[in-house]
Amino acid sequence: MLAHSPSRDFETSRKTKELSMEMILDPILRGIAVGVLYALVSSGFALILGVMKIINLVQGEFLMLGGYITFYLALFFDVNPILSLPIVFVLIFLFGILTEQVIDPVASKESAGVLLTFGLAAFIRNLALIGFTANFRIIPYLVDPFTILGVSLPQYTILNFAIATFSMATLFIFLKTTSWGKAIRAISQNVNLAQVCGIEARKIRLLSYGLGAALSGIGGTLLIISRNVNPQMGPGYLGIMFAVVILGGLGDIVGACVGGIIIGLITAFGEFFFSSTVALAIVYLLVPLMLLVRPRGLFNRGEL
Amino acid sequence: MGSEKRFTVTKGSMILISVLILGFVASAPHITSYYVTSLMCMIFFYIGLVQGLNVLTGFTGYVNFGYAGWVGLGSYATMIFLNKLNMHWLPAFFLSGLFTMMVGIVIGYPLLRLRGIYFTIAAFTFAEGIRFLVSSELLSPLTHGGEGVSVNNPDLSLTGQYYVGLAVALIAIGVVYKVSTSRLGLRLLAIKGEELPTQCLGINTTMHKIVAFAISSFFAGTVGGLMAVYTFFITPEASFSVEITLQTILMLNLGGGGTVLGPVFAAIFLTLVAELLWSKFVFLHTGILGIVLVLVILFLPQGIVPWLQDRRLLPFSRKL
Repeated sequence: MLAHSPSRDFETSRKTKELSMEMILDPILRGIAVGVLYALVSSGFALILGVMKIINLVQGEFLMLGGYITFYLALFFDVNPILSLPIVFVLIFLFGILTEQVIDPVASKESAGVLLTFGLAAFIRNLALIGFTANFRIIPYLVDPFTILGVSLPQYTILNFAIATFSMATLFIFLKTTSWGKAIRAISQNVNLAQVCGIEARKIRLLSYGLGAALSGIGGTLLIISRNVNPQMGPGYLGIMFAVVILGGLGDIVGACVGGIIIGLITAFGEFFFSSTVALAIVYLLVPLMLLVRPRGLFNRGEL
Repeated sequence: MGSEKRFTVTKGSMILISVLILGFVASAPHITSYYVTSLMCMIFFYIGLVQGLNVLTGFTGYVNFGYAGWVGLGSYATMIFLNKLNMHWLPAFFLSGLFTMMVGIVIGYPLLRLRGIYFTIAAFTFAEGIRFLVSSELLSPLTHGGEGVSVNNPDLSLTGQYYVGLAVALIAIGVVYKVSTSRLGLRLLAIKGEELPTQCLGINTTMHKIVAFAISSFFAGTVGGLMAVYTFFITPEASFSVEITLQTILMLNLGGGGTVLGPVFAAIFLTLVAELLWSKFVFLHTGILGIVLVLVILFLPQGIVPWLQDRRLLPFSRKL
């Protein structure tokens, strides 16, 4: 260690302590708390990937926009972040439908779709930078600590956990039981057969794109409470979504949930033992490695 | 047909124009200002970059969204060769090209046997991962972490950089020409068309893609090294910037992937446009490039050169 700032000394002294039970519990709980967030954000990405078969690089921008809607609602109308969730859901859903109109003509061509969303994401990011300024935004909400299993965490982690779990459970029930959900699953399994059975592929694509966008938008709201939101955050979270989706298997939404929590744990342990930069490097470099050893995901259920 | 007056160019005027352009390019550092010379340097770098990307993405359709990662690796490798090992610039550029080529082969070997979608994801995350690794404290003795490091100038003035850049650009164009007129290029184009039937014809598509990726990575690394010397101060943020990938991909798609001349003209045009945008609308710069990419994909999906070929304005020849 070259630099000897006080905080660094504090960290090293913390690390050299013997690893008691609480020491291990701390990154585990933090990892699960951030992991459910990652899972929520990535389930939207996985949904769009499953139905439209394109890598939606705009997904990180939905996240950012969701965060900013919450921020400005709180700033101008004094709206509680929890109450802004339905508004964010609806607005990002509509914005997603709008975006889908642009992507749809090239959706059947894999590489053209990716390139298009790449350009679109750069455009939205740039507009956000001008409109929202480059400042990091955060809403302090439920920051008082509480203690669970000897680990002290801020109260918003409970909120995040509850909302993320609720949203994903709702998505899961929607996909498994309703006719719309069944249509979405049918389209993602085989477009041609589903169309023969009378399912309108265009409508389903719109619906699932809007849903996927809105799920990430909710994730943005949770992020502005627990971390921060800034116009350039998109690509970073996109990398995490990639890692989660590859870990869970391409197009597998349950896999994405489990993958999210695993990635959350990896980041938490990486931050605990090294630093946040190393943690992110580990997460990102895990993706090529994962594709090398298990390209169909942890449960071997993803498509190739 | 016969009544239509065709636009014709006499052989003499063609030769005159070519000689004028060649003479200007060959003597630009001595007859123009510092600004024009450095702008032309940037054009050469981007010609090298876009032709590198062309060999993989243009011919096979496998989009490398982590291209900036390979460029950044080349920049940092050159910095280490120059600063830590005190090398001469020529082996430094060449070795960083070879280094990124090795990285490309190691990464490409497992990934290029999967579908394009996986390669896209893995290339992006690999580039991001390398960026964080370079800026982390683990490698800071070598890379000086996130705050950046200045590159020792290896007695290479701007004029020298200009000619090295020109040489790299010409070699890149030559390699793409060679690829496009060879059997390798035909097979790579077949992969872009239909990969499975190509395999069924007994062609080892994975090997061909790896060769293409190796060539592509080599140019990314060499030009990355040149850019490191050109900017003389490198940071992980700037060297691995998504903007490099965005510009290069836009150039390739505007010019037409799999053609020889399209990306060259697109690189010249877009570098000048980017420079203009940079000086006029600093804040909208990336956004405009992004929306142009959207428009190109929607309305000119093949690129300029194939579009002109379809309208019989250019001959159908793979040599273009």
